[in-house]
Amino acid sequence: MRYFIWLVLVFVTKLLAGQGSSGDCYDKNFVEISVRMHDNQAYSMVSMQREGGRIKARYFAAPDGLGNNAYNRYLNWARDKKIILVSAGTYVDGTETPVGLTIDNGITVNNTLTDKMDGLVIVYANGGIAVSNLKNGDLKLRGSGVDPNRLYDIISSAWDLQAFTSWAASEEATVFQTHLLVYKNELQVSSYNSSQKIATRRFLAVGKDINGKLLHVIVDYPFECTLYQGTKRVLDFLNSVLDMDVIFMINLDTGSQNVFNLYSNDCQLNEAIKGKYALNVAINILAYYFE
Amino acid sequence: MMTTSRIVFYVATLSFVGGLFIYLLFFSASVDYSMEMPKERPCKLDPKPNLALMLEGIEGEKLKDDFPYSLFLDSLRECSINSIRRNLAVLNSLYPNDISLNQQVLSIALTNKLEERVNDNLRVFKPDSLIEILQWAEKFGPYSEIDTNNAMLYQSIYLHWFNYLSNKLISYYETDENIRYDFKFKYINSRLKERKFGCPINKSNMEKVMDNFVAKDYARLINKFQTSSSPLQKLTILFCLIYFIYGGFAIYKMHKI
Repeated sequence: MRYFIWLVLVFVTKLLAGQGSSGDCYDKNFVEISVRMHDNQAYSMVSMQREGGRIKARYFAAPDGLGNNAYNRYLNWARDKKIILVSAGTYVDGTETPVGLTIDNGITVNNTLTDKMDGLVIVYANGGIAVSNLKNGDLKLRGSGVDPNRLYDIISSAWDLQAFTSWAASEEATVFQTHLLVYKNELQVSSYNSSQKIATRRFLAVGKDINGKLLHVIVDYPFECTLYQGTKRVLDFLNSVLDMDVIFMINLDTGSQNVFNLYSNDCQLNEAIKGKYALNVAINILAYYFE
Repeated sequence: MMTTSRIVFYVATLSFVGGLFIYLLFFSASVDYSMEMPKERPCKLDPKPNLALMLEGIEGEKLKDDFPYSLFLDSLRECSINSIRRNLAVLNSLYPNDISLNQQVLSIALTNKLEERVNDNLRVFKPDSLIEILQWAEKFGPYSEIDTNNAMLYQSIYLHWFNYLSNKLISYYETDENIRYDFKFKYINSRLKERKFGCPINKSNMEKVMDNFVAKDYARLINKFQTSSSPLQKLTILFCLIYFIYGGFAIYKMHKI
């Protein structure tokens, strides 16, 4: 009898939990997974609406004090999260260190501010992502002990770089460096200043749609091309097909860390965009989740 | 009488072994394996720059722009922390309103302005000069922990020069990839890495394959081979396999006979 009551209780709880969320991992009104045609080429994309702050980003690169690497930290963190997608972040070098300045929750992973990559990505605790064009020297900081109106030029000024790293440590900020491909809807790469290597590409673009709503879009470009060719085509696609005004666009690693898992709103793996390797290959991880 | 196939086999084997030998000979000759490190230079306390004299007529608001950086660097024994602290004390006594600005001025002198002086000399890889910079710059880390009032100044110098060295190694590596086998290059890179200043020095594909062999990570090796290699690479490996199997078979047959 007691066993029967327990079974009934479990059934009712499950039924109630199912109501409202319809058994969904996330609200599909906020996420669109689609394949669009443009110039006779298919572009697989995930478009996420940041309005209302329900979709958030999180970045992992540092090991924790218990020896868990970024991948294990992600697994522990993701247990109770409604994951939309998970991808490798920036490039890594031969010793499996993310290339360029990388700080994860205030913990420095790589101190080197490389002069080869102009984009500094800041992942905020509220799940937002901002990118600064380091060439412009107009980085603004928020938080304790900093003047919010001051512009920091961390490339040219050692003083500003030190102020920035102190700020990142005290604010437990998350930061990584990458190629800035598009900034304020303008191409930042040309065929002369970018790699001529041919590869498939994957991009993260943040911008506003025709109604002024903030979108985070990941576009998979499965055709082999140079970084410049891929960037140009995808920017054209975002501008003309999605009517998107791109604030910035960065590259996601499709080389040694070609890792990408996309989930449908029923929590099942979606094959619309899929990385080549298993997630444990990723040295640094960028995840989007729904809350 | 040797058959044609046997002649082809001998010629191919000789070419392969000979080519490998010549490549290794040239490659090993082009890498510098010298292990002798430059000795760390002791800091001398004299001469003392007369900073007060240099700053005559310069107003506090224009200090950052009008500071006589060149003159200051000419006279400074910049390796000494005592010298830096003494100059900071002079600046603080002359311009007491903004102590942070005084630190910034010294930071500019010992980073950007000093870099302008050394940069020309380091357009090509000069490992001893780089090691001397490293030996000088690494002291600013502990300085910042001891003299906490001026920690920002010391940290900025430390960060700047380690970043400089790291970016320099990257540029040398881009010019000549084989430089990564140079002992002093590896030494500097290791010292940078120890302090979390990573340089994206990539391993060649062959090195990656060897690493996976040594680590017995055969599953990854096979997976990478299947997913990442081009049809030409697959054909080459197939050809090599056939070549070695046939070679082994031929030797076996020859000895059996």
